[in-house]
Amino acid sequence: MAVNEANLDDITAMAAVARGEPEGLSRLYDRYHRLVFTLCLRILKDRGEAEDVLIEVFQELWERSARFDATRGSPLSYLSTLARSRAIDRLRSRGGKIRAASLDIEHAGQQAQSTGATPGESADLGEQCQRVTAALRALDPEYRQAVELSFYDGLSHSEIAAKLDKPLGTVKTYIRQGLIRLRDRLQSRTADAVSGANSSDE
Amino acid sequence: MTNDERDNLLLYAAGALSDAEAVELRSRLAAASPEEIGVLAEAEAVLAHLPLALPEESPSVGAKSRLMGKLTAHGQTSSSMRIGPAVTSTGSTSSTRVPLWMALAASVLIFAVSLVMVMNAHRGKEDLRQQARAADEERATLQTALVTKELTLQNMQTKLALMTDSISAEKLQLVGLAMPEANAQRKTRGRILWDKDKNQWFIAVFDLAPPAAGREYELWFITPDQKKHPSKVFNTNAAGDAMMMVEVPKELGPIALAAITDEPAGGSPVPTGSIHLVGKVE
Repeated sequence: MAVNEANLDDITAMAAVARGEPEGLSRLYDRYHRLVFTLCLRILKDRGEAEDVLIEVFQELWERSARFDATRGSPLSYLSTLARSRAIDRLRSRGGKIRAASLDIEHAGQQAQSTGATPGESADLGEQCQRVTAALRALDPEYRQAVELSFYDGLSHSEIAAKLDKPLGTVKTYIRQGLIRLRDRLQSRTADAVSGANSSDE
Repeated sequence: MTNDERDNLLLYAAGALSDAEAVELRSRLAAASPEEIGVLAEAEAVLAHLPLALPEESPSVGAKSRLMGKLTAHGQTSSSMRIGPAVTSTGSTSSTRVPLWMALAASVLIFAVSLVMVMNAHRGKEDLRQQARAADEERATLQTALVTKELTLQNMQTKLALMTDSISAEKLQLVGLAMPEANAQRKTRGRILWDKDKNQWFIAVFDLAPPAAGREYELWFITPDQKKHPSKVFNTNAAGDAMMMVEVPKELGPIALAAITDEPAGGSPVPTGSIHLVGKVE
């Protein structure tokens, strides 16, 4: 994904966190707490637990800021990966039944434009939301469903196979192909956006 | 980098690889190239944006306060280690003045204490970093060992499958291999299961010590006209065992004898070494 102004802000915020400056963490929290909380809530289906994991994630970001390497990924990638991992760990440790909610993509596309975030944040995150939503919508329904159940609901491949009453190999194929097509579509859209921005600068 | 390798990094980032695939890839990533690091970072970035497609939710307004409270409660902010003289100010209405020498002494003392605290914290942090690095190295070593053991297990499973396949053949001939009479007291032996439908030999040898350095064992098909036709070159393991499957070339016609000799590494077109095992086939 192309480096943009938002990414630079994130990197400088992470640098502040690494220096032990709470203002850096505060900036990152303001920017990404909804995204992290939304993902945790989707997996855990409990607001209290989702909030606990939200705080754990940012606290871990603070405590392990020295481990963050900007050359290997953005703070957003780090937060998203960590949030999903911690939420799934908590889900499995409580041994709860996993219920998968349906994804309301249409609603998400509208809601991202009315979060009350700062204008800069809205413009950037809203645009990304539209891109991701469109890319997901463009997937074949069975691929999309498998990817959603795996990524958003934290179900294992076996659990997805049981839920959809499909062979395990079929589910793995759906998830693999779904992720690959999603990546290809998002990266081609990013390349189009970057080339469009470059040509407008000339 | 091939498209398959790119795809595998994406699936690894998403946790969509099998356990064996993930372990193998993780051990490779311990020495990842800059290109691999970049592709993995791109994949993680794609996955990081997926939550944006969900209907957005907000936590309680007190969540941020809880977070920031945890940081200050553990004294984890840089403000707790501020270096420099404490600034005192006196207003025009104040009646209390601190002697200059006392203020200077206090400043120097605070500076010295702060410096010692910073150095200790830095040393502690460096120790933790070294411990973390050591733990990472050990984990990588264990992962490599695990991958090696998994590959060994797969190899054993493959051999077992080959043996089972041979045993279950409809037309099966068993051929025993033994040492030439001059060394009959040793335990070295072999067996050939000849699947006559598939024209394959499943060969197992036991207690045949690994060959000398620079040499390997070689299997020979010996036809009734005494011609020696080279076949598979192999080694035994530390226990002296080996198992293999070979195709019997149809163009040779009937096979009279099977023999195993030691030859220069890579094999020889004609037998030059000692005979270790021989067996009559037909």
